[in-house]
Amino acid sequence: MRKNAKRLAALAMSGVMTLSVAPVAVHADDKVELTGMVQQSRWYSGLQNMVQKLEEDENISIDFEVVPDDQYDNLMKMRLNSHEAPDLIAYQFADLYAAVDPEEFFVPLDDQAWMSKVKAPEITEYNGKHYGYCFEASNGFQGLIYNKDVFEANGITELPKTLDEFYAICDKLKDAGVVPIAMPSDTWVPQIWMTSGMSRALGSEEACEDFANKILTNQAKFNDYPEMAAVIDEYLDLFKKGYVNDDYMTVSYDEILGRLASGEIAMIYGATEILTSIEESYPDANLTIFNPPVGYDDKDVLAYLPTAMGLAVNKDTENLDAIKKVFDLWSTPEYGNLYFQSRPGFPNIEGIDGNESAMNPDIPKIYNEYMEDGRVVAQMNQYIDTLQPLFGNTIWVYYLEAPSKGDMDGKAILDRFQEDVDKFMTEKGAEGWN
Amino acid sequence: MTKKKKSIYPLWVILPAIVVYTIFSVVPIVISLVCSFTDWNMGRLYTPVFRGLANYVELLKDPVFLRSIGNTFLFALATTVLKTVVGFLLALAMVKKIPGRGLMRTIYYAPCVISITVVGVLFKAILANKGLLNNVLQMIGCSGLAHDWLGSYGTAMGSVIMVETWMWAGFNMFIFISGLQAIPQDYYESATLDGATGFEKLKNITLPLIVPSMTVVVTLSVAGGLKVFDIIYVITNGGPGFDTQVLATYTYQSFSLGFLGESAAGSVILAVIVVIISFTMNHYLTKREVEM
Repeated sequence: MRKNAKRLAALAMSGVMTLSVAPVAVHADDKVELTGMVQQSRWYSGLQNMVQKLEEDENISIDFEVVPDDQYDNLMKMRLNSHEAPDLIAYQFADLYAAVDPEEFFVPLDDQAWMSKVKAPEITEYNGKHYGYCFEASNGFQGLIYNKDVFEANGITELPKTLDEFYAICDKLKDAGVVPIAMPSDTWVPQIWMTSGMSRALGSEEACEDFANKILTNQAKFNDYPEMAAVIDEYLDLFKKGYVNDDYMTVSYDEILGRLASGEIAMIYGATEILTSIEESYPDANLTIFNPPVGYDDKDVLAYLPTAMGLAVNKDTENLDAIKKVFDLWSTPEYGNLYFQSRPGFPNIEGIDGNESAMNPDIPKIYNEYMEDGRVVAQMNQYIDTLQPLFGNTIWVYYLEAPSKGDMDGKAILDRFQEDVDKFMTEKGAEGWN
Repeated sequence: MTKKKKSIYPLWVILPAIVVYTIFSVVPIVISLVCSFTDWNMGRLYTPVFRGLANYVELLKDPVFLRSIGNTFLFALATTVLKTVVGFLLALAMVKKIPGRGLMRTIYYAPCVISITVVGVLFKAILANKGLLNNVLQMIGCSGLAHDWLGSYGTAMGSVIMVETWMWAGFNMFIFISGLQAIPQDYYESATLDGATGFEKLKNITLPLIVPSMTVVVTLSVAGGLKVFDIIYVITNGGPGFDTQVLATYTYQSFSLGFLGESAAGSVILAVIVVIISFTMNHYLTKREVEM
């Protein structure tokens, strides 16, 4: 009898506790919690502001896991393959499609209302379908970012038109005790000379596509195109002439930016996207960009980046409706403008303000000038992006190792990289290698 | 009549430990071994094909891998010698009753509890071309000695070895101190009465009786040196170029490229090297231990 009374009391207590917790659970259920993953270098303040506003106004939170760039590809592939990926995958479009098969892993977004307002739909297209929401229409173009104050202080008022003029400027800066060109040990920076130069050397989209097709199907080797080695040799000449900082094997990218802003160095090869980021960090620095003359490009072509940061939706997500709502909201100026508030750019959705008035005026000026003449070509990494997983651990390292040891010229570097490519493509079971 | 030996604990008590160890250590090792004979990679996560010893052959043909083996041995040998000698000398000094002994012991021990990432950031700043070390050298008029310490093979490898020694010598000091404190004072008193010098006492009493501590220190240092990853990763990341690449960083890089089978083969080679050398060293030193 006493036992039964105890049991009844326990049951009653459980009931009371359940009832008291229930309203909290219902309240908690109102909140939609999404997950995502993003590269550390792409975790922009603009995106963070959009996420924050979403949580405040709509009670939708997105918990983005910020992953170091060098681990991102593997982690993303592993999670997608094992069906443990988050709802949203941030990546550079259309590079994403070289890393994973969008038809297998991502949700097509063609039926969404905001798709009709997209300015550059080709960036997210794969086999006629669109698998992403891109914030920007383009990442701009590549060129030499320089400190205008340093140029002016050294009497350099005209930008160089020929390679000899460029070398003359470098000599002048060097004689004045300024390091003309800076390279950091972060290998993705020096490689911009080559990814830009190789496309400029070939000169047209068609030539680049043909080159990439032959390289990727084993119909040609890198050294079958002598202009490729010439691009690297010209880059190596900068070191031989003493134009480059002597600590390029160890100095970090961040420190180089500080030196550029302070005027200790004059130039760094980069892209408009990088210029915008530097201006964000060093608003007082007087920086701008130009397309440098090179010996292998007599047509004066500009290498641009037909890529943009965006989000793909995991096919396994259980929150598709919420994600569609998020993209609907983000495609409005109220949210979309936030992305460009501190980093001006080229918005991908009509009606969104890219904050172009805050953009360095030389960027749209140069871009439009080359675009109108049709003298543009996409950077080489774009065409051979199947080899992207190799770059950071092989050829980009060789680009820094070669001037340091002085034992490799352009041809030797490409021969060495060809071995890496052969191994990689054989492992992959790619067409032409088995 | 033989008396059955009774165990202190029933066998089932160790069962949870065995299960956990099996799941998290034995099973992954076996899976790695099996995968090392396949072409398992990121593109064929679920359909690896057996390819025999091809991964091992590929690795042994790669000059960067061969260099990383050489670097691994160099690192293990140099750090073992330095950590042991410095640790022992510190122990000899710190076992004496000197003022501030406790504080000094703590200071020497402290580096090994600092996060490796912090150590990496700290020493990268010290050893940078415009870092603290070069600034100090310039201040004292030795600018000729200033150098981009992490920018060339010799100084980069040497720097990493020194940082590793700085981190772990204090830890070894404590192992040696416990060994030194276990030596009965009577031995030293008798030796003093017999007219033995300090060096003779060190050679004939301290060193033979400290061998058990030496066994622990050397075995841990050799195994740790051969498996080194973190300190290389945070300070040089295998650079400049591939100059300071060691087996563990090479294997990690192979994994980053998506070559999972090859990466597993690298891990197996590393494991075999560590096991053989550690057991040999341990066996050799254990035989030289002296009963007190």
